[in-house]
Amino acid sequence: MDLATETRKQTRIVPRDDERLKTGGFIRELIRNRILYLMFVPIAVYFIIFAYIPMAGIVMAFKDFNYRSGIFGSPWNGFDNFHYFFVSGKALLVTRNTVIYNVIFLTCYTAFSITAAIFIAEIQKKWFKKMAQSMMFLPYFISWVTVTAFVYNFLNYEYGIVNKILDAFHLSAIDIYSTTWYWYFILPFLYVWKWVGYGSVLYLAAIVGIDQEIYEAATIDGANRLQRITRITIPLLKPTMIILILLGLGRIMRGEFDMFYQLIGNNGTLMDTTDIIDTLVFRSLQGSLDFGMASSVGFYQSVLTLAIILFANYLVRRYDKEQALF
Amino acid sequence: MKTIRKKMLPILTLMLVLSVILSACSKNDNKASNSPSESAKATDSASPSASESASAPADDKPDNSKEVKLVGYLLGEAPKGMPDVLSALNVKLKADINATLELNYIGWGDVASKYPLILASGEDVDFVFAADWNFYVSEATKGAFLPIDSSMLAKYMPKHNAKLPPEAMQAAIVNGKSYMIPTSTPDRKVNAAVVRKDILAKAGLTNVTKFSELEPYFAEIKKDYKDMIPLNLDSQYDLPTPWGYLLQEKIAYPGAPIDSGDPMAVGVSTDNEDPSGKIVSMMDEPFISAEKYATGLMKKWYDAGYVNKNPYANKVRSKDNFCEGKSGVAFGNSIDLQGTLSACAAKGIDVQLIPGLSPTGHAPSNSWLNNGIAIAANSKNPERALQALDLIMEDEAYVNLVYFGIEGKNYAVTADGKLTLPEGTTAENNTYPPDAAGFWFVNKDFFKPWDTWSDSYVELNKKVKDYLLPPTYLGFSFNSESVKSEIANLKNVSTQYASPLFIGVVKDVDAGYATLASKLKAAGIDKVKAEVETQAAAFLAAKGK
Amino acid sequence: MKDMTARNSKLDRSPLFTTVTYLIVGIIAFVCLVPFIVLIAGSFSSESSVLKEGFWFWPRELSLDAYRAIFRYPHDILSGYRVSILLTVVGTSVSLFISTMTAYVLYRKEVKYRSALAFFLFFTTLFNGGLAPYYLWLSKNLHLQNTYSVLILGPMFNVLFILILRSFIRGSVPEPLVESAKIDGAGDLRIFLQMVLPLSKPALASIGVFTALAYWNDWWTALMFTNKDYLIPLQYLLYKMLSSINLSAAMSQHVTNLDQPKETFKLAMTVVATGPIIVLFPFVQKYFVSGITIGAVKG
Repeated sequence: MDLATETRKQTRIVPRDDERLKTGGFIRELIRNRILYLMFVPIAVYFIIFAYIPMAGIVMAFKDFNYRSGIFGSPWNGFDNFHYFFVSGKALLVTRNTVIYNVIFLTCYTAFSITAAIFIAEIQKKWFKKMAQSMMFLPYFISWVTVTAFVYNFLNYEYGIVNKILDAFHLSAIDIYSTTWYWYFILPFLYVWKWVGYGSVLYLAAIVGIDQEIYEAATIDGANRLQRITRITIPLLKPTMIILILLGLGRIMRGEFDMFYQLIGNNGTLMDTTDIIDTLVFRSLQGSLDFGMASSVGFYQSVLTLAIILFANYLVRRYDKEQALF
Repeated sequence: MKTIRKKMLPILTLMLVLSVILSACSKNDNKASNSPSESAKATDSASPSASESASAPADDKPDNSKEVKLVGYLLGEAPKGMPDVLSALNVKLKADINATLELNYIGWGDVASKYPLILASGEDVDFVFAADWNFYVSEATKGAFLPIDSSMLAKYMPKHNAKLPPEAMQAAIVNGKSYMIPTSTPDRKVNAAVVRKDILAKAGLTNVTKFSELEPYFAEIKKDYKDMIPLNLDSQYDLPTPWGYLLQEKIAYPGAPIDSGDPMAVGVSTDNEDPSGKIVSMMDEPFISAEKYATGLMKKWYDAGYVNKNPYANKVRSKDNFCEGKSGVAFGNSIDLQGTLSACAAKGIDVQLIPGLSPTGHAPSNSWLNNGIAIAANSKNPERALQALDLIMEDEAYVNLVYFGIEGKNYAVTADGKLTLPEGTTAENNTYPPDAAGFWFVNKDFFKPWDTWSDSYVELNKKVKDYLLPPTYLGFSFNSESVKSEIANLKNVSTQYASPLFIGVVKDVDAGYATLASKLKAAGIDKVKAEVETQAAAFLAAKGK
Repeated sequence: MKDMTARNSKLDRSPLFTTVTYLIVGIIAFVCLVPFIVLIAGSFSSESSVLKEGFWFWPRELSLDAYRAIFRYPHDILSGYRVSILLTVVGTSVSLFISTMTAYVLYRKEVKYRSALAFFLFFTTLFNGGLAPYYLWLSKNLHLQNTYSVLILGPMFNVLFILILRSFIRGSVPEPLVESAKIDGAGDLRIFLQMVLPLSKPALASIGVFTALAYWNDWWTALMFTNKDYLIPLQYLLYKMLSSINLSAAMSQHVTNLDQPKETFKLAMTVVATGPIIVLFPFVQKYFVSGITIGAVKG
């Protein structure tokens, strides 16, 4: 603690000898920053053991796997495992749906999380603040199975609460489960509802981390609350926002499988608008235990995501190197 | 961009190197994984010699001098009372064959992920539950199980061998070998729909035998029972069921296409009672007109409000809320409807059962493979495992122990030879509920009836035997290995385009089937049909021998 | 946190602004709360009333059946809590410390290959070999089945959290601060322990919550790698119970228990699993974070 406050007092900027740092080879770099590299060793070991070694199993996507020969001994079968996905005639549709839904989700989630975080930070009564935050976290604990039961209870045609209310006002009942356009709203709403607590905690942590002196200085200069939000908080949240969006893009080809699977299930009427890659794969492979076919589409998703994330990261790097993911 | 590329290059190289190293070391472990299967091969090749020696009288008794521990995997969850039952079981097994048992369970919801992994890993496992509905064919193809021949059966499972007809082992053949020991008593069940007698009477119906005759019953419910939906279907089980009943009025439909066995799918099928066993696409005659009849009627009912509008989102089965008055019909089979019938009896609701029967009044008997057990390919003690299973499956004392628990604690026998719960034990606090321990492959002829079974249930079970008729393809299991891409797409197309036809939520029945037919064609139904025909012909030829 | 808005400015005291603030936060919180109330009410309802009349804001027919079913063997539940708490506390502490340390390395400008290292981590979120190789590697080669190690190590790190932490550190520890500390002769490790850790408390608190939740909710690792009773965490225990209820409802010919709670069981399960964490966590969180930072300063 002492060191932190001590050095904070003397925040004079020391010009760094960048040139010196840039020279020298790989080994010299390792030696120069050996402590820092050593500090990276635990995580590196972990990821080599728990991620990179099993990753070699990716070859299963190109193999006709059997137990006798094992993962590496099984015969290659080229792109046979990919065949079903691409001849289904839906590969393009579900890929598009996956991307569109994730973009909508990411946008709504980011907007709502930031809004919630900013307003929570403005609240002065501590008990209210704590309570509101805890409440926002509750949906995180409710599984999609339970959500599905509630939504059915609320929206189903015959005795759903919505239709009962409409009935009370002598309005005709609506059939939400067979009408596509409702779901463009229901799905993002549920997604935001589920994750807003999670997201707002992150943004709130970023707000709390902002140096109080900046606010104090602004107040002295006569900035009011609104101005402090728009001029200080929001610009300073940008790095957090960028990193969270980039990380969100890293899941752009996956998606909230449980939500789609539980809520929509096998509903043929909604399927063309709500089918994502994961649900299509699940449906196609239900009842078969084919490791190869299961991992082939995963590989396809990974490659696409890698391309997207490299591109997005490149854009961010052009704008500000330090805010990029890598 | 240039700087990125510069920086990426070493990383990518590093990763490449890493993955090469990794695959190299995993190759080593792969060798390790090979060794158990090699030993399996060894036992495989040893078995003929074992059978030769079996014929020699001196060697008739298997050598059990070394004590072994057997590890078995079953489906479901271990009941709370398992440790007690297991120790009682182990006392018996130790005395009889010098072996003890360790049981593990694969949770009901995790079968698809965990079952193949356990078999693939070569973990300590001697026997596993196996069934045609539980990936038997695909796992056998991948080499998960040890092949079982008749001489092994004769030597190590004499009791079971005596009870098991040769067709059963025949049915289990995959690529020329049997990998499973089927139960000697396949389930005897027919699908049945439960309806309420009081409403039937109000609707003026007396003797309903066909499902389509229920229309006035539905109309009566719609008119007078505001809270009840005539057909309140759930997304999993009920959804294709009424359609299936209607289809069965016209043709002996196996309940699911043979190519996938999935009731939600449409594909390649056969008329169960056609002795020539002609394989047809469900988009061709005679199926297509029967299907259109079924969908036409379902559409009529759906439009009249007899079917719940959103079955896809409903997770509560009709048999679970039938007695609560939410559903006009409960769907199930003669085994799983017991709970519904008892609940209704307790509430004083009089019910009638309508079995789902073919035009000739029959239902297909269940496959031999619907419950069974397999020896893992890398079991170290397959002989002892077989002996243990022989006792568990065919010795009455063993059967009662593993299925019903400990007498006096988990079950008791009444004076008139019925099963009951002992004093102080209720269904709720019974630590070893029947059926729950996963031993569904034992000889069920040893079971006594329960004293709680309602009359209509007992009556149904008595009739079941008369309904059952072995279909032409009893014991045929399709090996989808060579057409798995097509099967995947057929399933996918079915859920999207056929499931609306099951519940009748289409504007135009003919147009709906035209779309489905073209989608199925694009998904490769013809190729699958050709493959089914080849395998079916081979099956019939072998059967005729 | 100090009350930064208590200074004098006209808008600061504007009742309209305050009202709007409270209103917005209140509405969001309310929308999130309502389903949970329905959930609690449902868990205290009788199974038949839920099947008959659906869920409601209060129990239409009060019943403790679902809880009775969960607590039928209280010893199991206690053991489940014990395992879960153990895993959460140990796992979160280790994970949070190493994650922050990694984030600090990635943050330091002197580390020439920091982008490469970040990519090394991030790459694992994009590609994986699938379930089978992972399972076979861990169980057959590393022999981690039925150990506490696998339950702690399996879900230990989340690359996203590490990268978020890096961006937080960047936000709360200005570069010049590190520079001047270096000039004062502090080593890289000391800068991390005595400066970065204390200054990143808010970030540690939030990432700590997420890590703890990940451990608390993780039933998958237990499902895959354990079959011993003493290793079963609470969530997996409940998952198993639900699965056996579903099984007996689907398969059974002999079960005579008619009113077995199924729908309400699912709800009660959520209450039992999340109740303690919701009630206790806000209190524990503070000590947790200060524990890690103080421990680091002293060590």
